Amino acid sequence: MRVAAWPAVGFIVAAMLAACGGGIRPLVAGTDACEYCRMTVSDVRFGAEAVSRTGRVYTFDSIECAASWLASAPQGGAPRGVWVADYSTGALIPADSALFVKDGSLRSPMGRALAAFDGSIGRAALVERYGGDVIGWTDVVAFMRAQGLPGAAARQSAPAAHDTH
Amino acid sequence: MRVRQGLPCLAAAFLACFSTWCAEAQVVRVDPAGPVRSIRAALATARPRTTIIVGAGIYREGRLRIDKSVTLAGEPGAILDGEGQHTVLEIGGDSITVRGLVVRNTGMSQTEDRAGILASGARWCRIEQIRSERNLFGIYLANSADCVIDGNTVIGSGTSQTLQGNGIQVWQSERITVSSNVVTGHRDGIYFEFVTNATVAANESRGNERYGMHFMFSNDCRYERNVFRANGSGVAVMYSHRVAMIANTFERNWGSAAYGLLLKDISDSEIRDNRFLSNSTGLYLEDSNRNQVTGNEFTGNGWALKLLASAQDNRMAHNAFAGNTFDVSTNSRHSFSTFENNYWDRYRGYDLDRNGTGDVPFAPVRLFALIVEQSPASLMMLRSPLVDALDLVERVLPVLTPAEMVDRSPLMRPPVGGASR
Repeated sequence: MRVAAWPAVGFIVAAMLAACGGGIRPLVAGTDACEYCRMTVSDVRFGAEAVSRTGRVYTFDSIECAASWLASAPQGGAPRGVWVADYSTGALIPADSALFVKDGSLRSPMGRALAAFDGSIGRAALVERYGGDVIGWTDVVAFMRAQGLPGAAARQSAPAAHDTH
Repeated sequence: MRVRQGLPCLAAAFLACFSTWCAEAQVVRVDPAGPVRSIRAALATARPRTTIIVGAGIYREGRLRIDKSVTLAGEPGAILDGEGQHTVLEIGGDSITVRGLVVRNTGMSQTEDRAGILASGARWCRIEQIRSERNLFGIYLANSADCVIDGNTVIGSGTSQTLQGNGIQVWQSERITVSSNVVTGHRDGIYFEFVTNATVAANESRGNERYGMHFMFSNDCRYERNVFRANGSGVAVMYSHRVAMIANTFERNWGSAAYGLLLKDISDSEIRDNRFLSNSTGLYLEDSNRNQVTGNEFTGNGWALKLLASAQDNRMAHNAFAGNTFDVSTNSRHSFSTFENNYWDRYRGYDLDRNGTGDVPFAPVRLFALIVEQSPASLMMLRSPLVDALDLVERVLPVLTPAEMVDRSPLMRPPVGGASR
């Protein structure tokens, strides 16, 4: 019985390896975990994915994490590509061609207020709707390389109360 | 009880204030039967230090806002309903108390953070004995300080959807106490972001979609005696320094990305006297340095402790490990943390000098744990005799497991008091 099971195990392993060969896939909220910060993906509108040279898919809960991961020189070298979720639709789009709203009204999972959009809404319209600045992917990566996630050390105390009045 | 005793005084005070100036605290009663029928009307005319008693009934009054120092206290059956459209009650200002109300039904929204109770720019506020039902966010504090959230019951809609909000969320605030609340059916039960000097005590957070508690960028906080049970991904404490986590229970968090307690970028913190029971991974440390992990109990977990090479100078002492599939797992041959005086139920050594600690060291990392770390699919061979043979050979002649990751003074018996205090 035990001997007979081994070919089946081999087949399953082969099937799993074959399934890993593709490209990006939709993020699954509640199941996928972020490669960089380990959080479970909750809101796919802020998510991102990268595919390595060997075809391995990495999932991220936020643009902050995908950019930080890229800036940290990940194992296996530069990935084949990075995709970010379009905030309006949740669809994954190439990071290189996306527009990023930073420090606007959209509160992203990792504290840097970053959301991505495909080109269908112009820069001026994005600023009008969400505030903040519109930047490109290289700017995002450079910013995360320089600043990182909002370091707890950099922020010793919260601003005083009443500053929303 | 208290209300009933207070009724004669209340009536007297009401009469007194009706006819004359009221220098001292007023009491106003809102009741569907009148004379004051709406909370909005009572708030509009209330002076500071007024207590507004809300009688039983369903109040649909749009988005209510309290911006002066009053107490809003519900009698049993007092319900504020958001009609699926908006935040129910907003408070902003000093010394505002809300107590004993049911707040419900904000409806879902993609674009705004609706809450049962939203405190923004509040100081010295108290939110007590509230029952929050079917709200996007239950209780939400932002830009607030010195507030207490105590004894509330916060119940989300519990359905698996992206749009679920958090039960108790505190954002950019300081000196907040969150105590004795029950939170269930939300995305994260308790969520802290940019909060300092807060205390989270004696809460129960269970059955939330993602985390029972989620802490980010929040230094100098303390949480103790909480129970986190059967949440989608356990508890995550991230990017914070000097956090004290004491005597909590992390229980039954199952899943590929579930951790009893996930520590990411946590330093100079204390993890003491907690109980990790039946989790996929009990305690996980990554990029976390100089933490003291002492007196904890790890029982019945898949992995009791995952300690990545990026976690350095942590000290694991006086913990008890029993009935776990893997006691310790790591991703490196080197160890940058120390183990001493822990109890391991797998320890097969002896104590000839009878000093209570074993005479030969215990290596808690099984070879197979390393293999699984490299290639998770190999876990399916867990019960294979081949794996048992590998582990045995490795124990006799360690060549792959981290040589430095050993407990040189393993306890022969579980520490007395330890996790049970």
